[in-house]
Amino acid sequence: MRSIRRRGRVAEKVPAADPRVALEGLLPEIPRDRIGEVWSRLRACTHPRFYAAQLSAEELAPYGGRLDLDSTVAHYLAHGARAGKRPSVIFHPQTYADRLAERGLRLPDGAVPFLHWLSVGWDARIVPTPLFDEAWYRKKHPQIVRAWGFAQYVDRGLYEPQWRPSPLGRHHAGMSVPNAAQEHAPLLLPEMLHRAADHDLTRTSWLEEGCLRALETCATLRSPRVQDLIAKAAAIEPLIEEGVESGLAVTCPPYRAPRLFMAEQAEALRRRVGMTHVDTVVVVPDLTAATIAGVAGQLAAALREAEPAASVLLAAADTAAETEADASRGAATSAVPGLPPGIDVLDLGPFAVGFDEERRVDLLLDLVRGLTARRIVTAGSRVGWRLLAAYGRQLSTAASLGACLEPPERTEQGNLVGFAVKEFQEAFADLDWALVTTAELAADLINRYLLSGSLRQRLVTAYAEDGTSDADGSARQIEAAAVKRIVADGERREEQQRG
Amino acid sequence: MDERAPCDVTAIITAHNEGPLIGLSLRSLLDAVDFARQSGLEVEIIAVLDNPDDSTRVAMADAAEHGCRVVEVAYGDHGLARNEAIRLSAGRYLAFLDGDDLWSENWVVDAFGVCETDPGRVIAHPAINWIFDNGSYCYFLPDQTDPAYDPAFLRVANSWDQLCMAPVEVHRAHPYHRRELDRGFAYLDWTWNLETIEAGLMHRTVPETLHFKRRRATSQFTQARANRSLPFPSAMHDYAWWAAHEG
Repeated sequence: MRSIRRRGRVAEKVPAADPRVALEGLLPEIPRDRIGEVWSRLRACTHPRFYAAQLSAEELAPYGGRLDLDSTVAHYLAHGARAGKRPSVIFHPQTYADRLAERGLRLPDGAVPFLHWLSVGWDARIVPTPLFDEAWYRKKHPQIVRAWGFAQYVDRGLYEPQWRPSPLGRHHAGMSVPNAAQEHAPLLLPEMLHRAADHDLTRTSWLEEGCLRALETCATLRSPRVQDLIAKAAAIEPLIEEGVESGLAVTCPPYRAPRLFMAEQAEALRRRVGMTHVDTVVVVPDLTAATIAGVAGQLAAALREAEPAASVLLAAADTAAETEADASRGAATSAVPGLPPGIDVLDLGPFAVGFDEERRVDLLLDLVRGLTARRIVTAGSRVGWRLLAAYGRQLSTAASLGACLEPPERTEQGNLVGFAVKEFQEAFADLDWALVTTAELAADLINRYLLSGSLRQRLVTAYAEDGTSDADGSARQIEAAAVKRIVADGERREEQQRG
Repeated sequence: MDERAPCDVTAIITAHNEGPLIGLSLRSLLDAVDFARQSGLEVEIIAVLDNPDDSTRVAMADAAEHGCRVVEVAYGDHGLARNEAIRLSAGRYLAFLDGDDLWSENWVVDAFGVCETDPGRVIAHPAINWIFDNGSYCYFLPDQTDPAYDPAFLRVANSWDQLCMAPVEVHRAHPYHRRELDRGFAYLDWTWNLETIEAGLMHRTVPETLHFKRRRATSQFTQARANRSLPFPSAMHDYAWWAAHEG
């Protein structure tokens, strides 16, 4: 069920009054000596970014647009509770009402459902969300010693990737996020906030709706007919029922599946891009001024000049974004200072919120295939290198592949950073060319890899002299011979495909 | 195509090195075929053994006694072996079973019923894939008519495996590819799904039917995944296709 998110109009900051007093006022029936306990639970279950997503820009303005835990709790108790806002990703009002009803209980008139759960439902160990399955959690994580697994999930499971809460999945990509617990930012937040504009977040979300539909689908497993069919098959092959007692994981597209969120984002990206073809995609780590001024931007400009009729897109693949709300900055646009006209840029970060590197690579793969790019270049992007290392074989059947190589640098900690050595080793066989920014690096590669004559020819020198900028800091132009060579490789590749 | 009497369904089991496990699969297939015949369907049974090892050949030595026509081929390729089975089939609909998997008893008759709701245009899949051995899980297959299902999902992940029932003319119009692992192209089922959706066919699920699929460490899926394979290029990977089919 979908409805448009409603936004309040309250814009004043929360009064400085003690929020605990406000909590007492909202829970008149609770003995005063229990308020401290409910207060602790409230704080443990509050998730500022989820709550903030239910507020308008005007409501957030007094907080500088961002709530922390204290201000979220205070705002909720002062305004949100009575307005029906949800401060917690693990409280789904309808699920709570349904599970109360299963026990013959109902919400008292005038009660705030979330606070009722904190003060009453918690003690009855009612799980108020379709995202979590207590029996499953205990089977899959027998090391949990707390009597109620859900309480452990609230404290730790929401923030650490190893805790799978449900047969329906983890509800996130499985990646650790620094400071998630300190910031009360659950790993499932990107999926909770997906398509936020399509859902009334005070009641439900894309993730919860998917879980509810998946649970309905799973219920068919319990039908007498299906049970009979399973029993008949197991009579032939007993292994069919082996392991079932420890819990069956479930994949249920289009409601819940490991790559469902990624597929949604890939499609959102396609719609946002708005183009159906780009001749050259240059994959860069970001769209900072340094990147634009560096070899990637220079190459894009040179290709644009050499092939005026051919389109060029700079795609930033390594950037991070907190929410899909940032997706407007992901749009393809030409308005980037330092780039000549006719070169589009795209930031994949807002479409990769919560993605691990594998999913980022797959998102980029979908983009370059979708745009039927005839030339794909990685220039300093970790994800770009991974793309060529993983899928260079396949991409090279339809596109000319290239890479920009800059000398690795040693960090203060002594680590070597720069182009990805392992990925270079995996991808080099599929590259038509590698644009090398210094003669020293070219010599080093030739020497260490004992490059044969034909492999040596793949190294293209970018500049007559070393470095991407002149002594005065201005950007250099890539040598005409290098550009000519890259263009020729592309033409040769197209000729081969036509043949 | 062989000159054989036309029938409603050809039930096809394919095998390579399953050994005695193929007996379990054949047992399950025979049960589903008996069930379908009791409902009035005419069903033929073909087993295609592709470069079978001795234990698989021995396991199938008496299959003819159960009404199963056994054919040996030497492709070393699942797609080509299936294409051979398609060539030999006399059924209006073809249903494939891998040589170590099992059907639920109602699969053939119920899938036939769903296919017949729009003859020639529907590809039927079980409602549930029950994965067993080396870890259990359930995969509820999507129905393309579900408004929540977006075929764009197929750009990044597969939705249906190959153990479907489909009209013979669909199989003949869309034969399987030969796997090209060295070039990084595999996932014959995924590729086939992309091609059939592009062609306007409809993938439906059959309520209360199951396929019991054995998870093997050496499965084609596992090999393809380890090899970072992709499905063969398809128009559906191209943004232009989506732009042309939007709205």
